[in-house]
Amino acid sequence: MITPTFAVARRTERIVNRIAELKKLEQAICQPGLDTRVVIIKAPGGLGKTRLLLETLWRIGHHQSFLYLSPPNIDEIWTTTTPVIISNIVDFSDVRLHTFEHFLQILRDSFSWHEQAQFQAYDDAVVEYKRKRRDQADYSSVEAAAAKAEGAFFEDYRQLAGEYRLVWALDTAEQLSYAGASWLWETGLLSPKDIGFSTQQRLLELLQQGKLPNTTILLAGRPEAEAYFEQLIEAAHHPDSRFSLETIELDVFNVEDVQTYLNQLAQDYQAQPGSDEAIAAHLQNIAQDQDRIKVLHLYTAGQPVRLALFVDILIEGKKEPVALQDTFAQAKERIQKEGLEKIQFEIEAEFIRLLFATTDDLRPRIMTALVRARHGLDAKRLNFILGSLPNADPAAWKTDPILNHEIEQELAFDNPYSLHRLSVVKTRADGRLILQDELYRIYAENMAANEIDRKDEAQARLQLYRKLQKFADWEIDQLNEIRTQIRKEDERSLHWESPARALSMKLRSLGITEEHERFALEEHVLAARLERLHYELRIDPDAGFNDTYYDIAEQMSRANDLEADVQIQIELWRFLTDPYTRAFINLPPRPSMVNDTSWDTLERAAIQDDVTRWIKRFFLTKQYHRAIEFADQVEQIIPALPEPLQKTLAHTFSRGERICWQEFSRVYLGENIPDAIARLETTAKQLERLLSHKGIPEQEEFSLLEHPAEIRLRRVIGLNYNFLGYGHVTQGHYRQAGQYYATALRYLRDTGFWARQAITRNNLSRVLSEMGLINRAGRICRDALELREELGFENPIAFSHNTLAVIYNNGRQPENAWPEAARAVVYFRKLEDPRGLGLALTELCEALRRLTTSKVPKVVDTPEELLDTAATAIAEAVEIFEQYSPEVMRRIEALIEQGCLYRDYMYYLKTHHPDQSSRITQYRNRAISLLKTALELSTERGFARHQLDAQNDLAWTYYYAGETEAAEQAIEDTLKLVPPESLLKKDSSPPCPTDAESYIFMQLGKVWAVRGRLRLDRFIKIAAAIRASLENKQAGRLAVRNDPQATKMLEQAAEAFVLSLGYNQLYSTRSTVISVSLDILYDYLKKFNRFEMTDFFKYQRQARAEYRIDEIEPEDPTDLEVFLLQSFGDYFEPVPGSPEEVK
Amino acid sequence: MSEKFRSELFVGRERELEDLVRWATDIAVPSRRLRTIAAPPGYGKTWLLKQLVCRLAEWRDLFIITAPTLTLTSYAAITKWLLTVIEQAGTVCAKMSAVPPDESLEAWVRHLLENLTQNSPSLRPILIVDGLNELADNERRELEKYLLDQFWLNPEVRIIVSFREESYLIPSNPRRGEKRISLETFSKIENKISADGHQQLHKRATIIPEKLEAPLEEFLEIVAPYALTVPGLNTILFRRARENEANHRRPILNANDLKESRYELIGPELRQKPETVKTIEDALRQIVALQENSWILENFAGNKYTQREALNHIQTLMVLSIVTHIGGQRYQIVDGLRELLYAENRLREKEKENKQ
Repeated sequence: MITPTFAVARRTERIVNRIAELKKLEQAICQPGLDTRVVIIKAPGGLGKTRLLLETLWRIGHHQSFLYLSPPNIDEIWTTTTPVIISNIVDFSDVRLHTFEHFLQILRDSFSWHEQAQFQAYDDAVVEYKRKRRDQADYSSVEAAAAKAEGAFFEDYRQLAGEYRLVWALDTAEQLSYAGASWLWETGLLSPKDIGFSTQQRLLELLQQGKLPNTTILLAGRPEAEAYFEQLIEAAHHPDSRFSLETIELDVFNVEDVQTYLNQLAQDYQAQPGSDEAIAAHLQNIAQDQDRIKVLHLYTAGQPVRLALFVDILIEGKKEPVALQDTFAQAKERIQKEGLEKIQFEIEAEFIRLLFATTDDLRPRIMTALVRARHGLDAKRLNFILGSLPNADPAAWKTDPILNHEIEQELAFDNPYSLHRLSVVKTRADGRLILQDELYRIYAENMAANEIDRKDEAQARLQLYRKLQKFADWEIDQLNEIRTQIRKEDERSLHWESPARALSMKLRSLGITEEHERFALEEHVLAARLERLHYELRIDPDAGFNDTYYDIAEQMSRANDLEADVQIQIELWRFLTDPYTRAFINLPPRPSMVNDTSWDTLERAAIQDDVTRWIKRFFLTKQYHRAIEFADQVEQIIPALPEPLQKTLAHTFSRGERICWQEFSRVYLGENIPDAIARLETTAKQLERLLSHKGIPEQEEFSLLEHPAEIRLRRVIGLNYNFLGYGHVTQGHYRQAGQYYATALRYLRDTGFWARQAITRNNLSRVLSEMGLINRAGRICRDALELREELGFENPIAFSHNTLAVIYNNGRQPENAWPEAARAVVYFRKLEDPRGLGLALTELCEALRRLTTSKVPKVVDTPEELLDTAATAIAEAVEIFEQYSPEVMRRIEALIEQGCLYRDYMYYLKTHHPDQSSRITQYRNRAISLLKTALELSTERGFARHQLDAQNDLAWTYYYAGETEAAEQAIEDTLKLVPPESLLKKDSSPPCPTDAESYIFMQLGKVWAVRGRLRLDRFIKIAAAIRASLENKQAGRLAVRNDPQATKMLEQAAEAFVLSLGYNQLYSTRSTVISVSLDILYDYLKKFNRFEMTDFFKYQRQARAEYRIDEIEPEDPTDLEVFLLQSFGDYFEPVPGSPEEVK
Repeated sequence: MSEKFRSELFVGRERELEDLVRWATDIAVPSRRLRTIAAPPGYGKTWLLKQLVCRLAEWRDLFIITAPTLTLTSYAAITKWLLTVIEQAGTVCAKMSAVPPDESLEAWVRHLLENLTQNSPSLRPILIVDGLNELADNERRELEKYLLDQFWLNPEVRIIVSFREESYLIPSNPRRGEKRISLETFSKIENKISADGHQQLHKRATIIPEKLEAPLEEFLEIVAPYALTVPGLNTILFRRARENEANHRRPILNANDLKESRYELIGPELRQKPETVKTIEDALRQIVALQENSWILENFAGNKYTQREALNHIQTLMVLSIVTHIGGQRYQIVDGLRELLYAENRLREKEKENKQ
């Protein structure tokens, strides 16, 4: 049998020495008592911390820690009075463990090998948390579920700790430290509460609060974790401390330990089935050679991992490295002459040589792949790396069965030569292989030692990372496909028997197995995205940071996933602080304001991102005020920061991005919106200058055109315009908002950033629908929905359905609106997003309400059924906006809709069930009261559009209630709210459609229609009275014609309808409100006699001439240029950075 | 190499030879008692050792034991041969004790070496094992275990072993005393042909005599850029040219001759396995297309091979000493052979042009 390479660098079956350390650990675990104990195991890399943890696991009864070993001898077993359950090793090198929720789940799983370790309440509660997180539920709902799950965990934990001492085995603590802008902590801008997600922080709190009874925490880490260790020590020494702490500092091996190690290794190797006789014999020889042992001790400096490597080199190297041939005397001399580090480096070079000189064995190639891919590898990936062509498409690639078998053998636990048994290989919780940290260092140092090797390594890594990136891409595609499939299945299960039952559906409930499948799917998606980011950063750090990282972070934060947001950030910082990778990554030089490396610049960009991210994070967690304050505090602190950080953070780009989010928070809160808009506008202009060829010379800021950050800058400008659009919408400036959204789209074009593009398109579509451009809006909205479906996050998908409902409602297409609204309601309920739900319920109410009077298509429900459902929907919406949302505007909208609902209900009862007078009065009162409240609120907040809407609806309500005078007054009040330049005036040129916001013309059309109806009603009443007083029909008709009052009414009615339709024309020639007005008019006119008809014809002509209606120039829906400008932005205008910009 | 050794034909390698002579004849036992000579085929390992033996003949206090490597394929064969060595030792040792009856090989080695070193005057034993890589793996292990390791136990013994470039000794005690001599090709002067190579042909023409009718320039022009840097290859090419000349074939060497010479150098067994030849040719074409003297696995694999396949190819080429690992991630076709390959390609292109 040929033994594979590195077979000698195996873990010894018995630990070497560490007697005192094991004694301490035994005491910390086995001593009676219910107290909390922490043992810090501190040592530099490669001294055996992990081995000590594994040994502890094994001795205390977790024999699976060494799957291939027989259980410990009787003298090795630790016995306790209280039974103990120890966890598997939880290794913090997995970035996801940075967040406490994930850590708790992994910790729970790490106990599950023991059948008594039941966490029933937690398991139930965590399902809920995971479900909410998966569904991208509203942040507060996720937060609440997380808190509940945590509560359940510690409840279960306490119960279990009542019977067992629970031991946590935590490794690689140094990876836990929070990377990023540390000054945010030091200056007190962030508090411990802010990092409630941090495992490190929460662990400390749990210990301080005494929440871990009967527990021993073993925390192993390098001295790099010192700051955290010190925090723990300080807490343990606090007078009120609830836990004790002990530190084990692992020392290096002494000569005897080296001897023991060699003896043990020789013995283990010989006992191995199929071991190489010559190797076994030589190991024995070495173990018996005192001089050689001393030499090994000297050169390895007693570091166990080096010892394992050096012995392996002695056995497997083509020849023995010269230094290792030394006698002890020669060795001492050599150290004096050459220095230990140089000697070690040269011996380690032989290890590198072994990796590449051995071509008849897969193992060195696996090791090489592992040492390059710190993210860890599994069998699938190894198969792809070794068995596919460089440009292979993973989807089309087929596993080579022979290669697969060889790889499986390498990874098989029962194979005595398995990679898992090597002392330098670690197995992560997810089964992937990683290497002992020292190996990354040794490899990197050697490969960077000369330029040729460094370049070769960089090239090889690039190829490997590209492959692994492709693999991750493929995995993401596959997972997304499954996701889409699932969503489609879910949606297929949604069908409503009739609109009145629109609230009756919810997405089918899943069994626990299916739930878990979906959780696993989501976890897998996130893991694959993190992996992709990991490689993208290494392939092209600039693109990885400015493009992928920024994009994925945007998607995750939009999905309310704080955990993922943090994990992504940690992935970036791990990359930036990985000392073993930089030398092999091509980061081209770029213009910089300060004299430093591209890496420094990138690091500062990441700090800048960290600061902005906190503002976004506060926004995401609905701490809008905090977001605003934090941004202000940051600005105050920046001047005191050291250079060049100060310059970076004060840079227009950096500041601009912070302002974007700060002002957006302000707009969201409805606080001083015009100011916020002004600031956003200034920021946009400043940011745009950075895209121009000149940059901002007076601030010594050069152009970012063709700079790696250009794409990110474009995105931020796009974001800024998007926020500007939103700000203007809140002010009712739809035209301006539409232009800003279109500008945003222009900046976002070609930048990827699909989530933000989808938001912008969605917002634009809504604005266009407010402008009466229903088809245009529908087209863009559906496009955004498709984008969102591709991205696969349900929350934005739900918003798209809602926007479609808005658009259809604005287009008076209730038959199309209600299914969209109902679908959005179902999603938002599932997502537990109250804001979204409130919006969707409002739209549903409007759609159902309008359906009662709609003629197409036929609806099976009775109007009452529809109105009842609508009433239920809007009541919930109003409640939501009163209780949960800080957005007053949304509340006003819901109130108006509720008012309209009761108005329509009242009118329906009046016309169909006039006997139900008390109900009619009740509904009338409700409608008036609601609309008045809406009017007051919108007046108070300065929401002109809503004010006008509420006032107009009041007019209609009074009209329907038959309260003519109040209606007339309300009409007058409505007209007072309208800017004079938007009015049609006698003998004056008519306004242009662009002279005012479209909604003003729409409202004017509506208010003149009610006036027309009032006049016609009055005319009919007068005419009827006159006719009733005369017996002769003909005489009656003539009398009516000659009656000044009647004539005046008819004349005014014609004028009102002319104006109503004129305004409709100014609003939109394709608006369905036109046909609604005409329908009403038709119903009146069809009952007219020929005199009345003749007069009406005459009066309307007269009014048309007076108001110069023929001169109205409505917007032409066939104008391609207008279509382009509205849908895509203004590409005629040479914006900075565009090809047309004059240099 | 099957070429019969003639000391007078030996050229070059003076430095290595002097070093070995010094090491072998030093009265004090050196701390590193094992010299390994590693080189690709045709670099002159065997001739170097033979020339060394010639040079050492004048030292009467040395007892040179040259192992007939190819026959020492088992414990029994080694034992049998050992007895002949003991017998031979008896002829030079003044007082040779009797061979221990029914004892093991180990005891006989001890017996031999003790007798030699304790002789008066003492005879310093030097064991020479040439072409270790020519044995099968299991035979080689036997030889290392029962010959090298056993001889090593005597602290007076010096050992010289030669093998191909990629070969090495199995882990054993002698490795701690190993110093490896890697033979290089004959050096070129100012990037032109090798003086040693030129001298080698000159000696052959004058001493044997083996003369080419065609002017040497013609020969050199055909094989350029190969610059007579590999002694074994020089012999093969020269002989082939003479044969062609004798058969009135012009030119005296064509591309195919160069290819055949390559295979003659690497090992005749290859011609029995056409699939291996195809693999080698395919892989070599891939390497030559890289237009770089050295390359890394990823370059070689290109878009043609998976890593696994690329490794297999490199392995085949390394076993045959066509390719060598030169440190870091880099590999290269061994010197001399690489230039010959360029020459072959050049000729082939020319022949193609002429045909057209």
